[in-house]
Amino acid sequence: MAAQSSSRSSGFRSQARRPTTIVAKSKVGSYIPPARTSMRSFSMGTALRPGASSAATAMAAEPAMANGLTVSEAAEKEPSSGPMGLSLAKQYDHFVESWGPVAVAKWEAMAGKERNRQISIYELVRTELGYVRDLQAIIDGGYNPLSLGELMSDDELSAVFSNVTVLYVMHAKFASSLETEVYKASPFASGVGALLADFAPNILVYSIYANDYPSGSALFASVVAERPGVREALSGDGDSDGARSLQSQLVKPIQRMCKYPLLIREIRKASRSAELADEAALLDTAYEAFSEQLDRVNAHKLAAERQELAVALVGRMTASAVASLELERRLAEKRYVHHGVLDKITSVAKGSYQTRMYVLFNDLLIWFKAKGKGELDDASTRLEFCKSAPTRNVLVNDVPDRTDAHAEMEHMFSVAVNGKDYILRAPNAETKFTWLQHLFEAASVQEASQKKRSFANRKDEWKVRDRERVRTGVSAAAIIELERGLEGATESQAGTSKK
Amino acid sequence: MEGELDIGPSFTSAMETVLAVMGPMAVGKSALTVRYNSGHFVDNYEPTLEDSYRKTIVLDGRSLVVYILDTAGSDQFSYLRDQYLKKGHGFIFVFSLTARASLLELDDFIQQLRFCRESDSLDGVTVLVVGNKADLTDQREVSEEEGRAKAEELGCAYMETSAKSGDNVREAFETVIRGIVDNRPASRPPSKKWCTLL
Repeated sequence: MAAQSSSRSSGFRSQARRPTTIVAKSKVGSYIPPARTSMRSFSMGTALRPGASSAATAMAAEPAMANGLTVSEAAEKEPSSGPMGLSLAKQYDHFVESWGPVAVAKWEAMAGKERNRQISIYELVRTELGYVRDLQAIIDGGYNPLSLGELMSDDELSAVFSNVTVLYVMHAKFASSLETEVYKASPFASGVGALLADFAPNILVYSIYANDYPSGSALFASVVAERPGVREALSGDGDSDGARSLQSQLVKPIQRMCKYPLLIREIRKASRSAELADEAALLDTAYEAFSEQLDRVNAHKLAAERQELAVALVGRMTASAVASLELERRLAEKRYVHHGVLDKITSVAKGSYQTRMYVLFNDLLIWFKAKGKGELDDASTRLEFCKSAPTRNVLVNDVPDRTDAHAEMEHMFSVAVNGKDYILRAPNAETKFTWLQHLFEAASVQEASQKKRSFANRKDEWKVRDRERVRTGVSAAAIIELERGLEGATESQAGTSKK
Repeated sequence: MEGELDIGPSFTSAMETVLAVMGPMAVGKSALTVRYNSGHFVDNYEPTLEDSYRKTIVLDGRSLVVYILDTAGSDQFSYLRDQYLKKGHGFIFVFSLTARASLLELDDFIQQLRFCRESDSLDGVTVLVVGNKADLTDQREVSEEEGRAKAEELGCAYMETSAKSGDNVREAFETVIRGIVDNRPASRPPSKKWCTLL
């Protein structure tokens, strides 16, 4: 089990994470300024809010960026400079308050739509800077003290903090380019479409964080509970419960990545004029790209969760079951779909049944009985193999509830495997519906991919026959008929030989 | 090893209360959260001023740390939504009284919550269904009876709010927080605990 779970985290995840840890270690201290210091400088920026946010001060601040400093370092150097200092200011009041009177007057003179556009862009930039600070706080307030104090092992650290350092570097760069590009010439932005569209593909990196987060967060909670040193190390600077705030901060990346489409949509709404046509097109591209990347992150998360479930289930199976199904070897090419405990009705008349664990892979339905006296619901009960059936040989049908003498005979469906009918009973209507859906889907997907494969295999054959058809004048319909017959035959053959 | 597979709720520290505000798009999740936290309504400009808030509140003579998660943007990504469903001790599921479809979408959320908790009942989790935008009376598509009926069907309490006017916002949040605290198995008044410490 241990070996299996570590092999799960190898592959994509650890390959991607290895360099992460290195980045974190080499950059820590020099690259990342302490969160608390920089927080102070931000609030100083607010306090020293300049009256005029002229273009000149913006220009004056720019060289700091060109030197390759991070946003926050530049902010520390120039805590009160121009619009940059302003947008760095951490505050939740209405945005107008953070702009100087000159800028606000200008802004008020703008047309309604342009005003909205400016606020929307402002929000994007400000929240991005806020997010960079949050990431920095996670690293400085959590990762660094725990790593330096050797309070957690490297494995634990990478489980809890995942690739947060990669996210930090990525977003610090993005925030800095947003600031320098967007507010280059004046306190008002020209456009952000190009920058956003460029940045979008990076979101895929979040797959790693999203996959690690649930178990990482749980691990952190248990570490805090078990090791008093951890809580102590995290409660510096009068923050009495740094551990708790860190725990809540860990969800930030998940929240942030979902926000981009919302933010972009808002900017897009206000970019409908003719002179903004290019910007609008770029924003559309960016919106699509972010949504697509988020869909992928979501899909990765789904795949990872399923894989985890599959590994856990295989771990529960008895050695002989695993061996007879060749599951270990075949797991990589299988996609786990669903599993659950169902009653296999042995006699409808008598109402007798056996309780079985059903596991559905994309191409295989397997059922198990409990080994020994354990309950199947209990994760420690081993699973003993009963039978399996390729999903494309499975015919699924609804079985109407029986309302007569058998009050309990409801939520049933039948599964026909090679002519034998099994009647299964789910604990409730919802579970039954889920099973039916998954079984139908597995059967149809299987069918489609099978057809595709058989078609590809015989493409050349087709070509030859096509030429022949032209020569002999055999009708196309006849050929299709013949094809169907052949396909049916090979499929049922494949089915039986596999079994 | 089994701990890793446990996808049940991860309770953080005993007295911290995690409340997630969830619901379909454009129903006013952020507006409600902002209204509760800052007392103001942001007009004409919806998204998300802040992601999350941690605040200390005094409720029924007890002081509590409440962590409010605004989940905006995660609605169409079901597997990302999971993170919040697993983390929250209590939930406000928001729909818009001006959009019938948003009420129907709540089914998905509740179903997913049950799935995440691996439980058919919602025991131990406080859930409140909130119909927001009550101020837009002329655009109303869902009656109070319908909203209430839906909430009952899902086994939750029901309230109507207006983030714009502030009506019932505080009450809604406090109802859930109170529910969470009362649900907590070993809940002790924090003041007493602190006395022992000091």
